[in-house]
Amino acid sequence: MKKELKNSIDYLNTKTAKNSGFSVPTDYFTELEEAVFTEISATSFSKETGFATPDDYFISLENRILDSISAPKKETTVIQFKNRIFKVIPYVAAASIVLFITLNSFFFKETTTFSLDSVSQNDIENWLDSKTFSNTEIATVLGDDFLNLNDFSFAELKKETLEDYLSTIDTQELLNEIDN
Amino acid sequence: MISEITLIEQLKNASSKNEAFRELVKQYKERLYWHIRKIVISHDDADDVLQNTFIKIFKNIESFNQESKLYSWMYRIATNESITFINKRAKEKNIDIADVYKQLAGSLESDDYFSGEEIQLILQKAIATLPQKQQLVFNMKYFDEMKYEEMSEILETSVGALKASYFHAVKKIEHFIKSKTD
Repeated sequence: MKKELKNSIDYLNTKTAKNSGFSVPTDYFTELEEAVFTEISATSFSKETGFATPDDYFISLENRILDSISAPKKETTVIQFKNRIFKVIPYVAAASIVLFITLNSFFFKETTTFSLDSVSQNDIENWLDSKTFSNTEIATVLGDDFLNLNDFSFAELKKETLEDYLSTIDTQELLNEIDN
Repeated sequence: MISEITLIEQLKNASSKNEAFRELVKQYKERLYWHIRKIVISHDDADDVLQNTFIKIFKNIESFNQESKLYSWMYRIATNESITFINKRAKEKNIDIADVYKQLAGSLESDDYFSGEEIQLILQKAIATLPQKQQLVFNMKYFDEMKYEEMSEILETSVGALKASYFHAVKKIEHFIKSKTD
């Protein structure tokens, strides 16, 4: 038996050279010591989180869950479609009236106050250019005291400008204007 | 190197325990690693089992009664941890322990930390076919060249039984290798 075993082992040695083939990562054994001490330190930490629950919480929780599972289902009452329609009609009518009144007050009775400040300068200029009013209309709206000559004291009218302006005026038009 | 008796005394003394344990890790880390690695095969698993082994040693050093040598006691813890790991793996996968070993040996081909050649792969596959006890005996005797008396202390098995296990293991492995190579 001893010789047979020796022969077999010699055969294995020749074949495998007693090499298991296993290897380890670089620096594994150097880092191992620190890893072991870290693990040992970690095992000394308390596993307590500090969280607490109300007294008998888990007993009452179990009961509450079981109660909610075993609670009888409410019976569903069947209402006929026709009856349901008759029930709903008065509410629909009342709602329609309220809606009508509300919309009416919003869209047809709405009054908005405008002031000159709320109108943009562009709108005013466009309106003036459209010539939808006459000088007489303006004179009616504006009183005698609307403009004062002193208001124009800042304006300096050159003689040449005045002559140019007068030369562009159609005499007939001016006469018509005076007649009016 | 500190003697085993001094080391044990220091390990049992609260004031010197940490320092002595650091020395213990330094002295035995490689031997225990390779012992575990040959049982669990994968490096990552060996790393986990080795760390658990050292933690267990640290926690239970007070209960070490010196009836056996310190390294025998540590080897026994390492062996038990490794076997527990394999059994747990078998339970998780719901397969036989023998199938776990076959799967582990089969995974060596793609293992980054297996640098052996074809013949070493065949050898590992041959070892994987053995019963668990024969695997332990073969690894400890063939690779670690441990004496039967030491193995007897670690595995708590008689020398005669160990010799018989080794003989059967060697014959089976020889037969396996011959069938794959000749």
